[in-house]
Amino acid sequence: MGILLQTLINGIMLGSVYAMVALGLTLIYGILNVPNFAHGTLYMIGAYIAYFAIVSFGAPYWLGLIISMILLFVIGILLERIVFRPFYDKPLINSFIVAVGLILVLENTALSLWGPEFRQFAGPSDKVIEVMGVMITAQRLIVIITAAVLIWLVHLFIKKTRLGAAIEATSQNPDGALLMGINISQMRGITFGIGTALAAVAAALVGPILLIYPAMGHTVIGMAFVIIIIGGMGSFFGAVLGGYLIGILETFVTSYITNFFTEAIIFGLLVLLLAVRPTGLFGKPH
Amino acid sequence: MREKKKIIYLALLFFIILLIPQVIKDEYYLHIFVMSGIWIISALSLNLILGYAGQLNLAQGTFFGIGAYATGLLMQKMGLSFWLALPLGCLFTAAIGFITGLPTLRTRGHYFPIATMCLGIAIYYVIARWDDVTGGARGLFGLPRPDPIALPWLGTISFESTVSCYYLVLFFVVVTIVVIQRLISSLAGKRLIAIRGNEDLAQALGINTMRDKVICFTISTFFAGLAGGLFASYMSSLMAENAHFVTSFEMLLNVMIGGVGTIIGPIIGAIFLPLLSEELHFLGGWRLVVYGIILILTIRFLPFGIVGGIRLAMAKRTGGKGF
Repeated sequence: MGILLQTLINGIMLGSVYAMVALGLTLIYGILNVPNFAHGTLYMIGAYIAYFAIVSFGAPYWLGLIISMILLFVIGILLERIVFRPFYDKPLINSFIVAVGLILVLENTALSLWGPEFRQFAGPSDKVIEVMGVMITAQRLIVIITAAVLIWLVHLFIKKTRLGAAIEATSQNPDGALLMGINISQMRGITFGIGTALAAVAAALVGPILLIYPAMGHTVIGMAFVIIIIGGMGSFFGAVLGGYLIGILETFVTSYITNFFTEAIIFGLLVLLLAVRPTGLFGKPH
Repeated sequence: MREKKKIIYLALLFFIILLIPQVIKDEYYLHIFVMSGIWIISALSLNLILGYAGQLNLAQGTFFGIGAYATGLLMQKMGLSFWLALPLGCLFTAAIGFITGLPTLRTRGHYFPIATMCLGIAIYYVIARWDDVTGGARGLFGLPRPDPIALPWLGTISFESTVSCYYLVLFFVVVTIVVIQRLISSLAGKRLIAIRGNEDLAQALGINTMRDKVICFTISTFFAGLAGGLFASYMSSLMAENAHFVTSFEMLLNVMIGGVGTIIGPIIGAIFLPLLSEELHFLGGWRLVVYGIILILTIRFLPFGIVGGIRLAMAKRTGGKGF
């Protein structure tokens, strides 16, 4: 029972990270219609920014997290403006390849500047809390709670503010939104910024638990795509629910079945799912 | 008349390529040319599925890795000769391509590159962690070069020197070009181009798009496996990274910068980029950053790469439209 509960907590923790990364990815997809393959690389950049803010400049943990979030928001807006915007009226395949080019640029910049070694920074508290025989580190609790709050805030932002409504309108029907006087290129930029900022927060949250290195985004981006395909590409709740589900599933596979072929099993399941339903679990048929 | 002229030019070009190792004695440059040959085969394999059928397969580097590991393991663990291991390795790669192509090719649009990227990551992890078979993160070492072949009159050809590997790889480059050229100029090739243009329309015209895509995918993975098998024997060692999607990116760079959807484009890309790499050696890790920027700029300003640029320039001079 203890191990089961422990695994579940770890699963929810990992799921929180996946949910945030997948949420950012799905928001960007919903509004830009581009699967941003470089999203995992931006997650990695977010982790490094938090690391340098906290370790090199001695910023307190929360300040480091916020700095990383703000910087990635700005980087996201710039990337949308400079890299992706020229391709909206071009064939889809061009934006795919541009996103792949962006991975090359960002990842090798990180590798050249900061080297391949693993890094880690300390969280705000290293306390361990014991609940019903389960040991939970404070950082895991912080990840779970912060992620839940942030996801809820993004939801409120989209549903309750004018800006959020404009973003949702743009994702549902860009032409209609344009006719209603919404500045859709601005909405695209802001959404891209929010998406990458979410990835940065996720990275800053797990920085004290996982390791930071230039290739850290590879598995995460793969998982995030698995999640948004299962949850329906562009769907808010699909991404969040799918994130928690895949996080828990991955942790259970690792603990109870194999810790070597976890990714292979999950990605293999996705390929099988696509074989049965080529547009994902909740996607519309072509 | 024009056809005849073309053939003469091609023959002349081929003669020059044959003579290269006799003129350039520098081992280092020969090594780069051998690598270019291997990249040409892999770039042509990606170009077949991307440039003609219009499907962005992000697992092509992984199929390169499967071919490399299959050939290497058949030689090392089963003690097979290279001449048997290479075709078996290619067939194995094509079999995996066929099995994985069936589910992934059912997807369209955004889903196909995503599905193949996930496929690539999954297979990469199997290779990187299956210590007992693939050597895991340590990789495979001490793979043999091809066995010498005895020819009547000419004597024995051994493959220990870089020069002999140059001719070996050149042979397979020519085979690949001929097979792919025949394929795309056949009716099947026209069907692939129709699928690239508009899959629904192609289907409405009575083309069995799924069948054509699966066949194209299988053939393209066969050639990716061929490039991998040659790489394994030539380099004599393999790392799991060779099956990573970074390898897919390298192929994509060669294809896109050379010119997607043409035969000559990927060839130019695969010769030009390794040479450029040498010039950019002083940049260290920043080289790939520069490549990424070149890739983005190419797609922005020259979506059909170097070949597209040349055609456009020639069309401007003669006042035509280019394509």
